[in-house]
Amino acid sequence: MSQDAQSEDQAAHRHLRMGWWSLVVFVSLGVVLETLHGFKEQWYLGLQNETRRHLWTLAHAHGTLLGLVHIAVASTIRAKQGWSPQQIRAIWGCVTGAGILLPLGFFLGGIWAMGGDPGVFVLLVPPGAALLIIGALVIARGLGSNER
Amino acid sequence: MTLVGLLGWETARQHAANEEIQVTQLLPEKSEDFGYVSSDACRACHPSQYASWHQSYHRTMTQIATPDTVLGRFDGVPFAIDGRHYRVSRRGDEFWMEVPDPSWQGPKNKAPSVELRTRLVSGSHTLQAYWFSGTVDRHLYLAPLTWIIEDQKWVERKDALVFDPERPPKEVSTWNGDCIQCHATGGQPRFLVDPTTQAVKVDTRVGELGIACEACHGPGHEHVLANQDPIRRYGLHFGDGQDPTIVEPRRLTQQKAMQICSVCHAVQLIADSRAFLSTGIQFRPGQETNPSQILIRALEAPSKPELAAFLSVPGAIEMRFWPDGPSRPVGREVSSLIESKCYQGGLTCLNCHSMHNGSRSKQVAPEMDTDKACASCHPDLVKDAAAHSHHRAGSSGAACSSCHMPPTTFGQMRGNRNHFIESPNPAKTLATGRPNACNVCHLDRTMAWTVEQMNAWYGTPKIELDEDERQVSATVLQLLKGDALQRAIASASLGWAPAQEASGTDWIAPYLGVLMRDSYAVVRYRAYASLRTLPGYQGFEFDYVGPVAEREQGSARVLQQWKRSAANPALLIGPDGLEQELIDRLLARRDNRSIILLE
Repeated sequence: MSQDAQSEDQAAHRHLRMGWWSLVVFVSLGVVLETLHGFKEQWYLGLQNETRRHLWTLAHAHGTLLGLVHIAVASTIRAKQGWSPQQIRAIWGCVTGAGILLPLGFFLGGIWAMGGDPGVFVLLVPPGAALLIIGALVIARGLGSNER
Repeated sequence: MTLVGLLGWETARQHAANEEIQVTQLLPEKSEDFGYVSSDACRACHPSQYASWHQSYHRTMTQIATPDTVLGRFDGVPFAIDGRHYRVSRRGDEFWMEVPDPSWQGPKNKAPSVELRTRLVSGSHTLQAYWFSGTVDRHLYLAPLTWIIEDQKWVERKDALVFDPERPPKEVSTWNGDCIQCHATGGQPRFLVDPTTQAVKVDTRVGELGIACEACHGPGHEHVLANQDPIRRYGLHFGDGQDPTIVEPRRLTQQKAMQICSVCHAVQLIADSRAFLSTGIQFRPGQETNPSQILIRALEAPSKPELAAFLSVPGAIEMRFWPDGPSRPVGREVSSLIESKCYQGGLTCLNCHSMHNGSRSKQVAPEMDTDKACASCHPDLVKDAAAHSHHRAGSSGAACSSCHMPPTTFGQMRGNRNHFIESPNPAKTLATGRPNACNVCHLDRTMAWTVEQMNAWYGTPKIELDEDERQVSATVLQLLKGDALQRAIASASLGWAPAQEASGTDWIAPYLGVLMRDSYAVVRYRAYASLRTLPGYQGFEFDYVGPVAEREQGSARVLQQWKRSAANPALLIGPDGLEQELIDRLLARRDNRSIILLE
């Protein structure tokens, strides 16, 4: 196995590991949120906590989705070999950054919500979204240039 | 076959849609006139405040009649009150009342029954009133029946008020021209007069039914537009939060803050009826003065020429105020507070009440139903309340409100604390007829006892008393000799737990029995409610709006069931039981003047 292929394989493995651990964390968060629904917890479901509920739902959804994105990235890297180390680093940094910043921004924004507005930690969300877009762009371009 | 089915379904759907359009044309129209945006717009940014308001009775002051809002039992079972026949029933999600035709011009007892659909409901705390619509415009008429929530019982409207039974009830009450001012937000009656025919068409609009956010914070259109900008919002979150596009009552001056509550909680007169019937109350929160209403103060009123017409109505002042100024009915607490020294010291409603953080029942802020409410201005007295009050520390008698805000107002079929914050004074009781705090709690004590105690403890000058005042319990005197309002207050005091604790309960039942044959239905109602707080009477059956003979029997049963208490001359109880002759002598001197308390 060449060094590049080994590096790709390691990268794919990292993404897989990250993806599945993200799923563990954020699906668990979903179960917790559903449990709060089940027990009609007012500090989560009450009208006054509408913003928190909305933001935590977004945190759960984005975390889970980003976990699946990691898995999809791993498959993509394995499916289309020939990625440069820079591309692999960029993809890892962007998707991992997005996978952390997006759910964390929503979750912390929900903890410290201010009325109908999220707390300041929601400012983590835009850079997270930007990283996801950049990551997707790098992959899309990489797929074009790596065609065999 | 399928085509026929589809056609039938479409016809039914259109019929239902047309019916719905017709219904909406009979109800007040929701409108954004004057910048009202409704609580729906506030919810997105202020979920916590929206939630606390949503739980409040302010919200439910008026609602569309639906299965979720109607509290009355519409079970279709016919019943009669004083020979008038009623039936209230439900058809799907519609609520119907079969009542004597309100438009009948002939003899009242011959009025044919008509069935009318309930469109709106008012109230959800103690009573719920119902409104019928007309057929041509948005005019709404008060149903003659009121649902008593505590008792789960239908009564006629007048029987839920301190209302002289000999006087005919108001012929027709309409929501649009009267109740709208305190039962809707941004209400415009819009009584439109056709210039050619002079016919009046009612095209009422409201910002929102019930008392909603904008009733206290002002119309929100500008605020909503300005705060679509997130940078502005976060600037407010991290700044001092002052937003000039909306009114925050807490940040207003005393005068401006009180104006907001005064719209509904003070005795006010519409300044210009014609203007009101067109555009409604034009006061907006944050204004220093109210252009649409004139505040009535009992002591100032006679000197105000603009009130001449108002004062010419018999009972205009007497049915609303105690002679020294405070309000007699509940719900007009501002009128009482502004006569108090505490008001001169800067007190506002918001010192003790909180719309978003208060109790549901009276919206009292946390701990403001304790002595803490008074501590900010009177720390020394509160700190040593036992010495100041001469009552055991921690007892109800040592609480500031027990002596300075006794329950001497009445309305919604119950007594309530008077917001005229004063010190007990027997001389004032004799001058005004308003019970003093000592005797509201020490029900078994005479006025002479109160005079002695007040003189010994506070140096209050002694006053001349007549024989009855020296010998007979002040409360017993008021419930036997007093006017209907005094009797109503006494009937409530007799069931008040702190008063029962201070005065004992073994002597109370026969006096409640006397009040249960009172000519005023609310006195009977409250007396019956108080009776059920006494040991041995919890399950007592009595219909306070039943036929007179049955009521007399009920009252007699109270006495039969009573286990005699120890002799006490102040309570007119001798060694052989009640001193009936003395009681009859006092009853014969009852103040039977006509009372219609204007709640």
